[in-house]
Order: sequence, then structure tokens, then C-alpha cells
Amino acid sequence: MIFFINYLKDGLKFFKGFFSLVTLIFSELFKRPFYYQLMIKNMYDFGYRSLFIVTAFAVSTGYVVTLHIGLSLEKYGAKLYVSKIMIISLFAEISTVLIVFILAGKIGSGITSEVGSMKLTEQFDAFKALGISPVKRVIIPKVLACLIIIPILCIISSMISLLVSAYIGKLYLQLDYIDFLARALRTPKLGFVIFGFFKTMVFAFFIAITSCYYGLNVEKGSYEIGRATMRAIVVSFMLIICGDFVLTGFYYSFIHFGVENVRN
Amino acid sequence: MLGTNLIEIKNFHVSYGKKLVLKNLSFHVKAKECLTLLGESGVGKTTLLRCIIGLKRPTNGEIFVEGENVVEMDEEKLLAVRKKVAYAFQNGALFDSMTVFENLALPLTEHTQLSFQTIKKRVKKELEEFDLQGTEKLYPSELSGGMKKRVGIARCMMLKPKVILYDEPTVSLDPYNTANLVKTMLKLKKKGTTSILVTHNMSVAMQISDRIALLSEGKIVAIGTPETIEKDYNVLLKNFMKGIKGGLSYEKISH
Ligand SMILES: Nc1ncnc2c1ncn2[C@@H]1O[C@H](COP(=O)(O)OP(=O)(O)OP(=O)(O)O)[C@@H](O)[C@H]1O
Ligand SMILES: [Mg+2]
Repeated sequence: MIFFINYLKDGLKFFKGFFSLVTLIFSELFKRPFYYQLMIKNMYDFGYRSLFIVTAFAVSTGYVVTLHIGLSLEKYGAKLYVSKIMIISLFAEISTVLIVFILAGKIGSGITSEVGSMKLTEQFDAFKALGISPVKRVIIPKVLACLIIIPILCIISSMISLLVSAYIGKLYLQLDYIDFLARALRTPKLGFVIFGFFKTMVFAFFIAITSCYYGLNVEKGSYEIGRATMRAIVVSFMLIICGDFVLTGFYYSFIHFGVENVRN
Repeated sequence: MLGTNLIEIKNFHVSYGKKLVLKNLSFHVKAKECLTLLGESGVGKTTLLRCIIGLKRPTNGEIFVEGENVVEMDEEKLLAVRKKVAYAFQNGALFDSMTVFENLALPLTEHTQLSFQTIKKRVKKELEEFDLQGTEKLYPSELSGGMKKRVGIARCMMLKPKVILYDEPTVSLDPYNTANLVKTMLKLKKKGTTSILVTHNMSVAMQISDRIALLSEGKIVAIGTPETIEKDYNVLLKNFMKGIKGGLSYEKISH
């Protein structure tokens, strides 16, 4: 019981902190100066350094999912539908949610530990002491970089998965490349693609704010950094899971009336 | 200008959680003056300096910098105050993702329109002043403790601030660099920079302060010119220097 109450307390504290950080960021976002260069540097750091794992993930899931679905469908003579199912699952879950989990671990943990150790070594205070807003200089470039680079990584991952899928389709299911890709690209409605993209932006926002929040709350010592990093990742996961649930429910009940459109 | 109170602290209380660190402090610093704070480790000197530039909020009381109350300011106004009042961190607080050059150049690139060449020259000059030539490309992790300290002090002088708060600037410096730093501080003082100095080094304190304040148990025990302090509070100072615990408080040493 006490355990539960503590959880609740922690949760409330987190949401309070989350929203005050968001308001802080918005209040400083449009004031000069803007640190484009730092944002681009962060984008490079987050993006370039995640390319390997994103590629590995995309190749692997493309291969695995195509084989599983393809070989099952083949029994019913429906292997042509592999491409359609593939692209829907990419946009619905694989390249918009699963990959974001990986990026939450990769990018989010980096942000938390960096911000946390800056906090510990008084570098945030040093920025303030020099008349520089640390939120603007450190936090905002990271958040914006996440908002830009995570959706891009998701797109890259979905493209790689699709190409791998087409290749596997040819190799194991004797499907034609061009036909496979053409079917795939014809399948999703524009709204569905935009929805997938929007979802990754929301998740990127969750990751960025959560990891900054936990980094900023490191106070006592370096032992806290490990714990803060772990928490940032777990809480990001929770937010992504809940966000996916809510957004998807919302999409199918209000925007996309009925599931028929996906079935064609 | 001499004579006006540049910094004024009134009925000032600070606590961390339930622990009251500074109790009912009131004092002022005149323009162009150097006030030295002497006190045992943990008495709250760093805390006091941090409050003056708004890095920590006091529980109670007021701090005026040039007539404006720092305690009531929001972050944005504080940023402006901090351009005037520089704080040399006790541990240097260098940005570890930047080189020494970038650390020193940062205040200038942020707050001035100077060209890169001018900034480069300024940084070079400042590095020479602190005997740090050739360290431009090094990262803080590649510096010694004393070097970090000096880079930190150099950085806070880049904007030519009106007031400098030195937090134990001579700790971890060798005698040559200590003397060098004292020279620089005296030079700045001559140019009209006001300063508050926290130090455990009596000879440095005697050399540059106009007034000395003795802090004990969160209160000011005595404040006055170095001569009066040396004469009237000789017992206290001697005890402090001898390393007697609680040496700066009359009550503790009366028996
Ligand atoms: N973040 C903090 N949380 C809780 N207590 C703190 C914190 N920072 C400082 N203190 C306490 O406040 C008191 C004053 O600390 P402060 O750092 O101001 O001392 P100081 O006079 O600068 O000491 P020193 O000469 O060793 O630097 C100490 O007793 C310390 O335990
Ligand atoms: Mg201190």
C-alpha cells in the first residue's frame, strides 16, 4: 500500500516537473539568441551515432516480419498481400514505436547522463553566472534536435525495412521487386502516413522532455546519474506505450472512422 | 562614486531544508571596495556569494545590487545582473565539453558583437595574465587543479564586470600564481572593480581588502578595516589561524 502511494507521489511529481519544464521551454523558445549550431551539433550526435543500430534493427525486423507473414500467407495463396501488411505494420508499430524504444535508450540515456553530470559539476550554474540561460543553451537545442532527428530516423528505418522486405520477398516468396514496392506504396492512406509521422514526433517529445527532466533533477552525486538514466528510459517507455494506445485509439475513433480503409 | 553602497544585504537568512545556515546577516559593500569574508569551512560563505547573484534564494531578507533587489527578480532580470556581477566558482565550474579558449570566449561571443579576431586577442591576453599561455586547445580534463582555478577566474573577468565575487581564489595555487593573482586583483581594484573575496589566506586578505568581515555560526562577529580587525580582534584571528575550532566566536573561547 505504502509502495503504491509512493509510486503515485513520484508520478505526480514527475508530471508536475514535466509540465513546468515544458512551460519553461516554451517561454524561452522564441526569445533571442537562438543556438542553431548547437542544435545541429546535437542532431549530428543523436542521428549519426544512432544510424548503425537503426539500420541493424530495420534490416532484422524487415527480414523477420516478412518471413513470418510471408510464409504463413503463402499457405493460403495470399503471399501477394505481404507488402501491404508489411507497410501497415511498419507505419503502425515497427518503425514508429519499436524503433522509438531503441532511440529512447540510445538518445534519451545520453541526454540524461550529460545533463545530470553538467548539473553536478555546476555547469548549469556557471552558465547562469555568465548571464546565459542554460535552458536555452543546453535544453532547447537538445529537445529540438530530438524532435527533428527521431522522426527522420524513423523514416530511414521504415525505408530500409521495406527494401529488405522486398528483397526477402523475392528471395523466399518469388515476388517481384517492383510490384512489391508499388503495392506497398499504394496501400496506406496519406492520413495514415501523417499519423505515423505525428506519432513519432510526439514520442520524440516525450523522450526529450523526460530525459532532460531526470537529468536536471540530479542533485546529490554521481550515483544518482545511473538511477536517473534508468528512470528516464523506463518513464519514456511508459509514456510511449500509453501514448501509442491513446493516439491509435483516437485515430481510429475520430479520424479514420472504421478500420475498412486499411483493409483494401 | 566612492561611498555609495553597491551591494547591500539586509536581514538575510538562508537555510537548506530545515538547516539554517546564515542568520540575520546585514552588511554592505561600497563601490570600488574589496570586502573579505573570513570564516570556517561550512559557515556559509559560498552560499552567501551564490545568493548575491541569485543562484540560490534566501529564506528571508533582501539583497540590493545597485539599488535593485535581487531576491525579487526573475531569471531574466537576474541574467542582466550577472553580467555586472561575476562569480568565480570555488571549483572553477568550467564547461567540460569546451576547450579553454571556448570557455574564455563564451561570455564575449554571447554578450558582445566583437569580431573573432578581437576575441582571440582578448583571450590570449587574459591567458597571459594568468600564466596560462598555450593552453587554448586543451580541455578542462587535461588541466591541473590550479590551472582550472585560474581559467575559471580568467573567464569571469572576460566581460570586465563591475563586481567580482571571488570564492577562495588562491586555494590550490602555488606561491608564484598566488602572488600573480593578487597582482591582478589589485590592478582590477585600481581600475575601480568592486569585489567580495572569500579566502582562508590571511596574507592575501591583508594585502587587498579594504574591510574584513569575520563570520562565525552564520553571523558576522566583526567587521572593519584590516588594521582594526588585527588590533581589536586579535584573539579571534589568532585562534582562527591556530586552527582552534570555533575560534572566531567569543562565546566558544571564553573559557
Ligand atoms: N546543496 C546543499 N544542500 C544542503 N546543505 C548544503 C548545500 N550546500 C551547502 N550546504 C550546507 O551549508 C553550509 C554552508 O555551506 P557553504 O558551501 O556555503 O560553506 P563555505 O563557507 O563556503 O565553506 P568552505 O569554506 O568549505 O567552502 C554547510 O554546512 C553545508 O553543509
Ligand atoms: Mg565555499
